[in-house]
Amino acid sequence: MKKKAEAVVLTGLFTALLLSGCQGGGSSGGGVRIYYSAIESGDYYEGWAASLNEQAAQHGDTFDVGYAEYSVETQVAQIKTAKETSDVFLCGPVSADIVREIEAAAGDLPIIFMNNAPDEAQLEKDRYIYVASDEYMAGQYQAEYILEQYADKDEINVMILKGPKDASGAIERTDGLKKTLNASGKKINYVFEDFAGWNTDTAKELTKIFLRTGRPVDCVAANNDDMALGSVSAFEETGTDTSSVLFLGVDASVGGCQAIADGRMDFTAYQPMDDQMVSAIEAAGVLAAGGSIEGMDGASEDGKYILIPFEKVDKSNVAQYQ
Amino acid sequence: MKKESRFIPIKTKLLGIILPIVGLIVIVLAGLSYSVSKNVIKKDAQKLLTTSVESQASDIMAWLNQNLTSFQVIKQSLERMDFDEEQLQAFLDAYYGFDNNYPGGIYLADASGKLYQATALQPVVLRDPDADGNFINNGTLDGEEDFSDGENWQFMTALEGEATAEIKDGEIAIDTTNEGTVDYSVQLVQANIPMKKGASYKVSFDAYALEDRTMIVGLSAPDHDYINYMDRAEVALTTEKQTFTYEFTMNNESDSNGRLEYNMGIAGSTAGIRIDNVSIVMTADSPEAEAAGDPEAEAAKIRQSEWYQEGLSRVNLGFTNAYANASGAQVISACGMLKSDDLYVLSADLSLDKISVYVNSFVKMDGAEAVLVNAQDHTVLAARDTGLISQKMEDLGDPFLRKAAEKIAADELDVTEIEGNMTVFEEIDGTDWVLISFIPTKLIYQDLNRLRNIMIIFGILSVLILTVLIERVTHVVIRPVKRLTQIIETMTGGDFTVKCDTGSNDEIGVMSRCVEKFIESMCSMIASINGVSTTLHTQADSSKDISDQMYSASVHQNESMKELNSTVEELSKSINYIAQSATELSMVVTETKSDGSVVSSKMEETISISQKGKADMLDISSAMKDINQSVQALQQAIDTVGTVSEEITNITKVIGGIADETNLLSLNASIEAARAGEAGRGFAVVASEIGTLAQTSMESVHHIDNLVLDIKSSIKDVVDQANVSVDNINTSSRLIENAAQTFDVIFGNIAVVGELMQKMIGKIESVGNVAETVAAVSEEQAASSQEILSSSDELVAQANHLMSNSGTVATESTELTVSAEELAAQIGTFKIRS
Repeated sequence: MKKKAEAVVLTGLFTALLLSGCQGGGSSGGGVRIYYSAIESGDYYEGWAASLNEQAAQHGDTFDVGYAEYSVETQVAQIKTAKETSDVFLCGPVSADIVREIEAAAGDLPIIFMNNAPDEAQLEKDRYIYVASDEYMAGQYQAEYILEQYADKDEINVMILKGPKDASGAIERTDGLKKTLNASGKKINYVFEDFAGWNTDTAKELTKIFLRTGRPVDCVAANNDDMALGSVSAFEETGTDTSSVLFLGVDASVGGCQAIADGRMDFTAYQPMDDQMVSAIEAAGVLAAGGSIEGMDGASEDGKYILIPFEKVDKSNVAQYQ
Repeated sequence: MKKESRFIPIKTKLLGIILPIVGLIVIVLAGLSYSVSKNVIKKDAQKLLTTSVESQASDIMAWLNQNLTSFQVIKQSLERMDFDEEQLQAFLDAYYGFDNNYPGGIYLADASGKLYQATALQPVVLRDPDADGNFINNGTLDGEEDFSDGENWQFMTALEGEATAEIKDGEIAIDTTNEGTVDYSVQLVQANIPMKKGASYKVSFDAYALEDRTMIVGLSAPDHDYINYMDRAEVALTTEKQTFTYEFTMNNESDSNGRLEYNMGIAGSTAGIRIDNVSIVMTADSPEAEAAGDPEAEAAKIRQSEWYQEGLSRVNLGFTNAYANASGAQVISACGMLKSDDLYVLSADLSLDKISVYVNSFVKMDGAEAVLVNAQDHTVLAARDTGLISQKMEDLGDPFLRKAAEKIAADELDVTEIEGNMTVFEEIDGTDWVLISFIPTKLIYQDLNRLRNIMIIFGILSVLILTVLIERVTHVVIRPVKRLTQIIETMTGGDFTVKCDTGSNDEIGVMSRCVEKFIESMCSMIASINGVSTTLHTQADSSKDISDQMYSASVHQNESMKELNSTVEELSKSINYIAQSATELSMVVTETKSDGSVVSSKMEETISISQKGKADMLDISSAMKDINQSVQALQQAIDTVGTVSEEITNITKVIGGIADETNLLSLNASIEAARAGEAGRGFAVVASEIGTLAQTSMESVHHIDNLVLDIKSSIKDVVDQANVSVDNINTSSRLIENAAQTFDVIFGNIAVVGELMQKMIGKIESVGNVAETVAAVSEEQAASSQEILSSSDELVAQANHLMSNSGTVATESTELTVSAEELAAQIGTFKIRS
C-alpha cells in the first residue's frame, strides 16, 4: 500500500514536471522529442512512464506522456495534439484494433508501440515498430522447464491457465508453451485449459473446479505468476498434494519469486522491463532521425519488432530477482 | 590467306541487326510486362485470397463467439439458479429449438455421466406390435373402423378428389367418382407406426381393383417433413386379388410416428380398389439394440463422449473438435464445467452445416475453396466435400491436404503454393482451427494467360509491322546509297563518266556530292596523269636510247681502255727493249770503232789494187780492135756464098718442072695400053717404069732444094753472129773506157771515205755515250710506264664498272619504258568526261 502511494506521488511529480516541460514548448536541447501515449494511468503504466523518462533523460531527449484511460478517442486526440510538438511516439494502444487510426493521427511521425501488440500487418519496417518482451519465449521456457523436469515421462498432463482471451501476451505465451510441448514427441494431455484473466482468484476458482474432475495433473502452466499462485492456493485449500505438480508462471513478480523461494512455485520467466525501455528509447532516437533498427539487440529481420528475451527463473537463481 | 568475303547488302545487314534487336526488345517488353502483370496478379490474388480467408475466419469467429456468448449466458443463468431436476428439464426444454444454430438446445451431464437434455431429444418410445408382430392396427380389416377419428385407418380426399371408403366383407373398399389432381387426392393412411432406426421391415397387403389400375404405396414421416422411410412404390392392380410385399430398412432416427399411405388419386382410372390383410412386421432388429436401455452403459458412453471429456478441461465454454454426436450428426460442441458445487458438464451442439456455409459459401474469390481443419490433430472440420469431414488430413490420400497438414505441423502458415494451388492459412483465434483457403494458380493465371496470348499476338504483330516498316524505311533510305554504290562500282570499272544525284539533303546527299567532286577531281587527275604518262613514256624512250648509247660507248671505251692497257704494256715492254737495245748499241758502237780502224787500213790496200786494174783495162781495149777487123773480112766471104746458092735453086726448079710432065705422060700411056688389051701389056709395063723414074727425079730435085735452103739460113746466122759480135766488141770497148774513168773516180772516193771513216769513228764514240744515257732514261721510263700500266688497270676496272652501270641504266630505262607503257595502258582504261 505504501509503495502504491509512493508511486502515485512520484507520478504526480512526473506529470507536473512533464507538463511544465510541455509548456516550455519541448524545444530543449538537441535531443529527440518523445511522446508516450499510455493505455491508462495507474501504478503500472506510470511506472513505465517514469522509467522511460529516465532513459530519455539519459539520451538528452525530452519526454512527455499522456494517459488514454482505455479510451480510443482520448488516445487519438492526445496523439493528434502531441504531433505538433513531438518527433516520435511511444504508444501503448488501448486496443490492437485502433492501430491504424493511431498511425493516421500521428501523421508522418514514427511510432514505437509497446504494452499491447498491434497486428503484424499494421506494422511497417522502421516506421511503426513494436517493442516488447518475446512472449513466445516465456511460454517456450515454461515448456522447456516442464520437459526437463519430466524428461523420463512419456505422457504429461498439463493444466494451462491463460490470460484474457484477446491478450496478445497470453496468446503468445500459450502458443510458445503448447508448440514446444507438442514438438517434444511426448504425449501431452491438456487436462485443463481456461482463461483466468491474469487473475489469482479466478485461477483459484477454476483450479478448484478442475480438481473436482479428479483428473491427473503433472504441471500447472499459467500465463503469469498471479494465476500460478491462484492455482497453488486452490491445491493447498483443497488439500491436494502439490509435491508431484509443477507450478509455472511468467513475470517473476514479487509474489512469484517469493513462491519459488518458498517452494510453492517452481518456475517463472523474468520479463526485463528495463531492457524494453532502453530499447524503446533507443529506437525512438533512431527512428526520429530516419534511421533503421537493424542491428539493434532483438530487432527482427523484417524490421518491425524489437523483442526482448525473457530470463528463466527457478529456485536456483530466484534470489537474483527478489 | 584473306578470304573473299561474300557480298552482303547493307539493307540485309541493317535488317539483320535491327530486326533481331526489335524482336528482342518486343520479347523483353512483353516478357517484362508479363512478369510484372504476373506478379501484380499474383499479389492481388494473394491479397484477395488472404482478405477472403480473413473475412471468412472472422465470420466464423464472430459466429462462434456469438454462439459461445449465448451459451455462456445460458450457462451463467444456470449457474445462478438453484434448480431441481424438474426446473432443469423445463430450462433445457425451453432452449430446445430456440435457435436454429443449436436446434437441440443445451444439455448437461453430471459426474456419473447422467445426461440431462430436452424432452424432445429423449429416446423415442416405440410401441410394441400385436401378437402377430404386426404394427398395423386392424390390419385384417375385420373390425369396424371410423375413418375420421384420427386413430388407426383414416381416409381423406383432397384437391378435387371425390371418393368413399367402407369396410365390406372384411376388406376395405374405396370407390372413386373423381380421381382428383394429385395422387393423394384420394388417400387411405394409418399413422403412429413405430419405426426403429437400423431395423428392417416388411410391408405386405392383398389388393385388387375393379378394373386394372395403379396406386402408390409409401411410408412417410409426418413429423419430419413427410420424408419417406420406405420409398414410394407403384402398385399395379388387376381384377385378380394379389399379395404385394415390400421390404426396407429404417435408416433415419427412430420415429414413433411412421405413416403408411395408399395414394389412390389421379392414376388415369376411377376404378374401385379393395385392400385386405395389411401388415408391417420387423424382420430384423437394429444391430445396436442390445446396448440400448442399459443406463450404466449409456452413462459410460456419455462420460467417454467428446464433449464430456473436453468439457472437463475448462470452465469457460470452449469448442470441441468436430465429431459425430449420438445421433450421428457432425457437430462441434461448446462445452465446459458449471461453476457449481457439484460437477456438471454443460454442452451444446453446433451443427457444422453452418460453419460449412461460412467455409464453402463465403469464399470471396471465384474458384477458390476453403477447408477448415483442426491444427492440433489435423481433422477436417468443414469442407465442400462432406466426405472429408472429421477425417484426418493425412488419411485422405489427397496430396494437397497432406502437404497442407505438413505446413500446419511445421507452423509455416505463410501464403504458399501447394500442388498447384495458391494456399492461404488463417488461424481462427480462440480455437485450434486453421482455415485453409486455396485456389488453383492456373485459375489465377487465366487472365494472365489471356494477357500473355494478347501479348504474344501483339508482339508478333508489332514485330511484323516493324519488320515491314523498317524494311520500307531502310529501302527508301538505302536507295540513294544503292545508286551511289552503282556509281562507285562503275567508277571502280574505270568509268568516270557517271553522274551523281546530289539532290538529297542528308548524309547521303553529302556523300553523293563528295563522290561527284571526287569524280571531277579524278577526271582532271587522270587527264593530267595521262599527259605525264605520255611525257614519261617519251622520256623513258629517249632515256633508253641514251643509256643504250652510253652503254655502247662505255663498252667501246672499255675496249679502248683495254687496248690502251695492252699498248701501255707493250710500250712498257718496248721501252724496256729500247733500254736493252741502247745498252747493246753502246756495246756495238765500241766494237764498230775498232772495226772502223781495220776498214781504214783495208781501204788503202784497195786503192793500190784498183790502179793495177786500170792498166789491165787498157790492154783489153786494143785486143778488141783487132777482133773487129777480122769479123768484117768474114762477112764479105759469106756474101759471095749466098749469090752462088741462088743460081743452084734456079736450075733445080727447071728439072722439077720436066719430072712432072714425064709422070703425067706415063699415066696416059698406062690407060692406052689397058685399052689395047694383051697386045698393049708389054707397053703398059714400060709406061709404069717411066712414071716411077719421073717421081724419083722429082724427089731428088726437092732434096737439093732443101739443102740449098739450109746453106742459106746457115750463112745468114753466121752473118747475124758476126754483126752481134761486132756490136759487142764496140760496146765493150766503150765500157772499158768508162771503167777506166770510173777507176779514177773510185780512187777519189776511197780517199774521201778514208777521211770520213776517221770522222765516223769519232762520231761513233759520241753515239756510245748517248746510247748509255738513253739506256738509263729508258729504264726510268720503263718504271713510269709500269705506273701508267697500273693506273690504266684501274681505269679498265672503272671502265668495266661504268659499263655495267650503264648496262643497268639501260635495263632500268628499259623497265621504265615498260612501266611508262603500262602506266599509259592503265591510264588508258579510265574513261573521263571530255
